[in-house]
Amino acid sequence: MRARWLLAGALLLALAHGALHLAGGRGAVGVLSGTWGGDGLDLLLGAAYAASWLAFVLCAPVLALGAVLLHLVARLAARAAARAGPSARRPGLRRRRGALSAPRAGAR
Amino acid sequence: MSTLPARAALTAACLLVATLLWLPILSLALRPDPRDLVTRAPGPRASALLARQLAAWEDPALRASDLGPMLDANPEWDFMGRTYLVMSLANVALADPAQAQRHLAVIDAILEDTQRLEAERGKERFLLPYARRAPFRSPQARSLFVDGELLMMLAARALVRPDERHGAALRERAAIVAASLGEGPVLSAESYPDECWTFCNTFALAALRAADAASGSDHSALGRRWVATARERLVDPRTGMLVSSYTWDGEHLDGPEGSSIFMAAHNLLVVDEAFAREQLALARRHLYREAMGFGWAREWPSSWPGPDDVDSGPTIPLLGASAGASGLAILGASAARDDAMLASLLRSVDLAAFPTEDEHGLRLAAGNQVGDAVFLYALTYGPLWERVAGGAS
Repeated sequence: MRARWLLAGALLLALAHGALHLAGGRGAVGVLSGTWGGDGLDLLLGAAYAASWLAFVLCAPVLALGAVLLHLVARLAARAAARAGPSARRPGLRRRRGALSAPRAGAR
Repeated sequence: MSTLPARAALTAACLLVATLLWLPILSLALRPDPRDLVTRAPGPRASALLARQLAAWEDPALRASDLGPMLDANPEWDFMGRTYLVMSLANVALADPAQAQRHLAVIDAILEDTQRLEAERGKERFLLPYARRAPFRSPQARSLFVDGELLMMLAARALVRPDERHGAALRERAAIVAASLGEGPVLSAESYPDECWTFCNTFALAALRAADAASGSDHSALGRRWVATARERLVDPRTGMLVSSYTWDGEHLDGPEGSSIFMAAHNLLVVDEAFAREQLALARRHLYREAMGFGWAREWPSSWPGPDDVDSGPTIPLLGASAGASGLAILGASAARDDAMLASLLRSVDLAAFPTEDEHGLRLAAGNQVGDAVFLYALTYGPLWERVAGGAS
C-alpha cells in the first residue's frame, strides 16, 4: 500500500467528520444515551457523527503518521539501494550497457 | 521489497508504530485540568456544568428541551436528575456559604415541584411502567427509590440551612423509610414489586444518616444491622461485591453491576466506612479498566455476564465499556479520592462524551440531564458527605 493511499484515507475521514459536523451531527449524539427529541434521521445522524468523530480522532492521525513512516522507509530503502553500487542496479540497465559495447551487426 | 505480502507487512508495521506514537500524544492532549480533580471549590468544568444545570431550572423553555426527551426515555431519570442536582447544590453551598442563596432557591424549587408531582400523580410519576404490573410484597406498597431520594433531598436542604417549611416533611419521610427497611426480611425495601435495589437501599440508609445529622435522630443501629445482613445475604460469592438487585426475601436477581455498585459504595461511606471502602476497592478491581491513560468501567464483572438495561447506556463491544457504569465510576473515583482513576475517566469523557459548551454552560451531548447531574455531583463531591459523617451520631 502506498503512503499516498494512507494519506488519502486520513483526509477522507477528516472530510467525512467535517461534513457531519456541519450537518449538525454533534447536536444529535444524545442518541447514544437513548435521549433525543428528533426522528429516525437524527438517530442515524447522531450515530454516524459519533462514529466519524472516533475515526477522525483515533484513525485519521494513525493513517497520516503511518503514511509519513511508510514514505520515510521507502526513501531510506531507495538511498540504500543507490549506495550499494552498479551491481545492485536493474539487470535491464546492464544489458543495455552490454549492448552498447558490443559491435552492431554488420558494422566494421 | 517488491512482493505484495512484504509491502502489506511493512504497511502494517508502520501503522502499528503510528498507533503507539499517537495514543500517548492523544492522552497528553486530553490531560484534565488539575483544578477539575476534586477540590473544595468547583473547578472550571464543574462551574460550567453547574451554570447549565441552574439555567435549566431557571428557564422553563430550556428545561423543557433538556428534560422532554429524557422523560420519554425513562421517568426515573428525571427524578434522579433532581436528586443529584440537589446534592450537588448542597456541596457547592456548603463549600461556599456566601454563594448559597441562589443554590438554596433552586433546591427549594426542586423540592416543591417534586413533592407536588408526587402528591398529584403518586410515586408512579417517577417509575417505569412495570411498577404497575404486579402488587408490592410490602402492604405499604411504597417505592424506596422515591422515598429514599426524596428524604436525601430534604436532608441535604436542611444541612445547608435548616428551614422549618421542610422540617415536618423530613421527619415524616425518615420515619417512612426506616419503617420500610425494618419491615423487610433482609432489612430491605422494594423499589418495584418484589424488587429491591442495592442502589436504592444504600441511598435510603445514607439519607437516614443525613436526616440524623440534620435533625438529631439516630438510625445508626439500622445501618449496622443492614450491613451485617448484606455481608451474609446480599454479596456475590465470586467477587465479594454487593449484588445489584434481589427479591424482598433476599434472593439474588442480578449480580454486581457497574451502574449500581459505585453509587452503593459511595452511599455506604456514611453508614459503614470500612465496608464501603472494601466495596470501592472490589469494584475498581473487577469493573474498572484502563489503557493508554483512558479509563472506563464495565457493567458486569467477567464472572457475571448479565444483560444491559436502560441504565447501562451504550456499551462499546470488545472493551465492554459501559457509559452508565463509567459515569458512576467517576463518582467512585471521587469518593475514593483516587486522582489517577479520576483523571483517566475524565480523559474518556473528553474523548467519547462530546462535552459541549454554549451560552448556558457545559453539558455532555452524548448524555442527558441526569448524566450531567451525576457528573456535577462527582466533581463537587465532599462537603455534603463530610457534614453527614460529622453530624450523624
